[in-house]
Amino acid sequence: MIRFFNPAAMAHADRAGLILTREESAEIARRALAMQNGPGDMRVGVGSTWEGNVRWARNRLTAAGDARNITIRIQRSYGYNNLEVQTSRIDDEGLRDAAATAEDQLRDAGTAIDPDRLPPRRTDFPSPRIWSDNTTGFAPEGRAKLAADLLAPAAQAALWSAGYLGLSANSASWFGTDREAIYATATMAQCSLTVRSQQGSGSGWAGFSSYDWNAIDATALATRARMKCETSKNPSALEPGHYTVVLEPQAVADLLDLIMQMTGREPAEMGYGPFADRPGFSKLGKKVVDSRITLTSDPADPLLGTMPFDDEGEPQIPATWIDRGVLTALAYGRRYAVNNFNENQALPWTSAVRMSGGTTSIDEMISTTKRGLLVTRFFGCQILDSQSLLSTGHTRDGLWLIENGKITRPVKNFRFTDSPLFMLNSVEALGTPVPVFHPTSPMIVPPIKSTSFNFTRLADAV
Amino acid sequence: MNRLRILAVAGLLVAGPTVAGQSVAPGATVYDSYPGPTACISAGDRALMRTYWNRILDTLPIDPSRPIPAIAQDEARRCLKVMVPGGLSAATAPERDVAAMFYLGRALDDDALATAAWKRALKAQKIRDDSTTVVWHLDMSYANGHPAHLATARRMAAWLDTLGYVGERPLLPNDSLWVSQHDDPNGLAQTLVDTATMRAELNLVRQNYEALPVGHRKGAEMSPVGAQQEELLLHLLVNPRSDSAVLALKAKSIEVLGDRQEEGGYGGAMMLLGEHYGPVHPDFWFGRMPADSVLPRPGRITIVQVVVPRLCTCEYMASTIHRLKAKYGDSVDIVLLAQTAGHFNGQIKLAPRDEAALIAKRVFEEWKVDVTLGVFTTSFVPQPDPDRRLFDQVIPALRHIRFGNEALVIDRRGVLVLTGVVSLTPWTERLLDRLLESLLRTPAN
Repeated sequence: MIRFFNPAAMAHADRAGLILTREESAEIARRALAMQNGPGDMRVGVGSTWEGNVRWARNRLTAAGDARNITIRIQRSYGYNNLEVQTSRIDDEGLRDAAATAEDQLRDAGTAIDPDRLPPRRTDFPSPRIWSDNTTGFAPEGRAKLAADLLAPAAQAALWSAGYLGLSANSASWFGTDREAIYATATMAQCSLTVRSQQGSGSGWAGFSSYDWNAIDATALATRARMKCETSKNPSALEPGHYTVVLEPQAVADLLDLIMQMTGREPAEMGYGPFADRPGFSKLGKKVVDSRITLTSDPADPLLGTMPFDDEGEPQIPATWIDRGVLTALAYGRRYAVNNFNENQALPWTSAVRMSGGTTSIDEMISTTKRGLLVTRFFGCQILDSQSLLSTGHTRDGLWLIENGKITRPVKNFRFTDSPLFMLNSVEALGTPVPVFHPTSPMIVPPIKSTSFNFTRLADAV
Repeated sequence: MNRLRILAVAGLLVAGPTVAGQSVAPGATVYDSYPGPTACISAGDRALMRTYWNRILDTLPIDPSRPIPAIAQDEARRCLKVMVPGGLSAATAPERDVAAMFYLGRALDDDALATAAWKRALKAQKIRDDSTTVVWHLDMSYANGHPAHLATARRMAAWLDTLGYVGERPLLPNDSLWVSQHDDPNGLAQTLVDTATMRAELNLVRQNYEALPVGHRKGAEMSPVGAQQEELLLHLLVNPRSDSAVLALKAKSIEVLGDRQEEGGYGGAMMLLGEHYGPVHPDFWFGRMPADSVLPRPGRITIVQVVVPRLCTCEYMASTIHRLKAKYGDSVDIVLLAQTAGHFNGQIKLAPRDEAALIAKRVFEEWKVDVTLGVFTTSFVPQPDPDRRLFDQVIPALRHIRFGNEALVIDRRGVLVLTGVVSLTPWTERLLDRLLESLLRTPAN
C-alpha cells in the first residue's frame, strides 16, 4: 500500500524546516514502532525530501517547482518473510493504517520458515560532508533569474536553449526494534543544459552536479553548451566502423554506469553478468580491464560523498572494486556476508565511484590521433548481452572527426554496439579524473582515449 | 518443489476416502504450530482454501472422452459446499476464483460454468495469471493421465481457441515437453492417494522414459530411478521386508548413473540401500538416552532426517513429528542430523559447541519434538583473497545423505530400505505413516 502526499505531512514539514530533523524522524518512528502487533522484527524508515527546480525549453521558462514529501517505510519481518508498507501520512491514523496492513500481510505470508535473524546492523559509520547550505539557500527567485540569464545568450545567438536546474535536500533514517537508530542528511544540486541550432543541425550539452551549489559554474556550462552547438553544426556523415575515440569524462561516465549495474556478487557467482566465471565463482582476482584502471568508492571522500548508508540502512564502506585492472570487489548484502564470511558487514552497491586516471590532456589525446572521433557523451545506453556487457546507445550533443591530430569537422551521430569492458581493455591514454554530471551519486572519471570502438550505424539524433 | 508442496497440501484438504476406506490425511492440526489461532486461520485455512483450492482437482483426469469419476465429482461438490455455501456464480464470484470456477466446471461436467468463468477471465484481462494457470493444469492433467495421447491435449488446445483464448500457453503438451513433464514422478506420486492409480501412473512414466530416444534423455536420467523409488514405496506398503526390491532400486541407480551417483540428485544415497546404516558419530548428541550408545537402535524403526535448522520449514516438520511420535511412541526413533555453520539466528562467529547448543535449544524448546539430535562440527576453508568465502568441508557421515529434504527409512534390522521419497513433513506424512505401519509388521530382527 502506498499512500500519496498528504497535506498534514507537508504542514508538519513546514514547521520543522525543509526536511525532518533527527528528533522529528525519531518521534514518527516511535509512534509507528508502538503499533507492532505480532512476533518478529519491525523497522521504520523515515525519509523526507525537499526539491526546488526550474526548467526551461525553447528559450522560455516552462516549470518551476518547490516540493516536499515525507515517506514512511514500515518493514516487518518474521523468519524469512519480509514485507514493506509505505505511507506519507504521519498522523496516528495513517501510521496505524499502514502498520495494520503490514501485520495483515505478514500473517497471510505464514510462518513456515523458522526465524534466522541477522545480527543487528552496524550503526558506526562516518558522516561524510554532503550537506551545503548553499544548495538549500538558493531561493526560487534566484533560480528563475539564473535560468533566464543562462538562456539569454543562446536566444541572442538565435539558438534554442533547454535546461534543468535542480536542488534537493534529503533526510534518511531508520529506527528498529533492535535499537537501530540512524539518521543522515544530504543535499544535491544539478544543472544541465542543451543548446541547439534552430535548424536542428547542431547541438551542445554541458552539465554538472554536486552537493554544493557553489561548486557549479552554471554560466560556464551555458557557454560550453553553446560553443559545442556552434561547432557541431552541419555535420557530415561518416561510414560506421571501428574508430579510435577520445571520450570526454561525461561519455566515460555514461559507459561506466553500465559496468556498475553488474557489480553484484551473488548474480556473478550464479553465472550472470560479465563478472561471472566458472560455476559458483566470480572473476574476483582476475584481470578484467586495462591495468591502469583502478575503481574505488569511499563515502568519506569529499568529492565522492554519499549518504553513509544505503536505502536499507546498510552502512556504506570504502571499497576498491577494480585494482589496477583486477576485479577485487563485488557488492553483497548482509545475509550473504553472514552466510559466506561469518561477518556482519555488507558491501552495499554504489555508483559513487572514482576511476583512476593519467596525465594526458584531451588536447594531447587529440593531437596524437591520426583518425578518430571526439565524443561529448552517450545517450540511451542499454545492455544487449549481460555476459559480455555488449551494449548499445548513441552519441549526442557533439561528435567531431579527428584527422592527423586535429579536429576537422562535426560528424553525424553514431549508434555504438560495443562493450564498455572492451573499451576499458583498449585504453591508449587516460586524463585527469574530474567530477561529472551524475545527480544520483557523485562520479569522478577521466577522459579516455580508446582504440577500435565499434560504431554500427548512423543515428539521426543531434 | 513449491508445486509439490502445493499439490500435496491440496491433497490434504481433500482428505477423502482411500483404497483402504480410511483417511490417510493428517488431522486438522497441520498448522498447530503457528503463533496463534488468528495466524493459523489467516495463513492456513484462508490462503489454502481460497488460493489453492482449485488445485484440489489437479489429480482429476479432465478428458472429455472419459467420464469424470464419481469420487472426484463428490469432492468437487464438497469443495463447493464448503467454500461457497450459496452456490458458485460465474457472474458474481470474486475474480480470484475464476480459475477455480473453470476447474469446478470441468470437474462437474458443467461446460456452462467453465465457459462462463473462462470468458470472465478473458474480460477481466486476467489471461496471464489465472488462465495460464488453467492451461498449465489442463496440460498436466492430460499428460499425466494420457501421456501417450498428445492428440487429446491438442484437442483441448483447439477447445481453448473456441473460447477466445489468445494468451500464452507455454506448457501445452508437445513432443519436446514430454521429458520435462515426466521427470518428476515423485510429484506425481505425492498427488495421488489411490495406490492403484499411482502404479498406473508410474508405469506410464517409465514407458514414456523408455520410449524416448537415448539422445533425448538428457536431464531426465533419474526419471526411472525416481519412478522405481515410488514403486519400492508401494511395494513396501504391502511387502515390508523385500530386500530384493530394495536392491533392485540400487541396481537401477547403478545402471543409470554408474559411478556418477552424486550427480543424480540423491547424493549417492542409493548406494547405501540394503546396507546396515550407521552407527553415526556426531560431535554433539542431544536428547539421546544414556543407554543408547548406538543409533540406529536394533528392533526399532529409525527415520534419519538431515536438517538445516536455521533455514528449514521445520515448523511443519515438528507437527508431523508430534503426530508420528504420538502414534508410534518408542517403536519409531527419529534422528535429526545437523551441522554447524558458524552462525545461527543473529549470532556470528560461534564456537561449534555453542552453536550446537543453540540448535538443540531450537529443536527441543521451540519445536518441542521428541527426537534425538546429532550435530556435526563443520570445518571451513577460506577461499583466497579477494574471494574470501568460507567453504565448508565435506563431512563423511553426511556426504551421501544431505542431498535434500527426504528422510532415510531404516527398518527394524537397521537396514536402510528407502530414501528419496518421503520426508518428515505433512506433504508426505500419510505415505510415511502407512510405510511405518507396514514396516512395524515385520519381526524385530
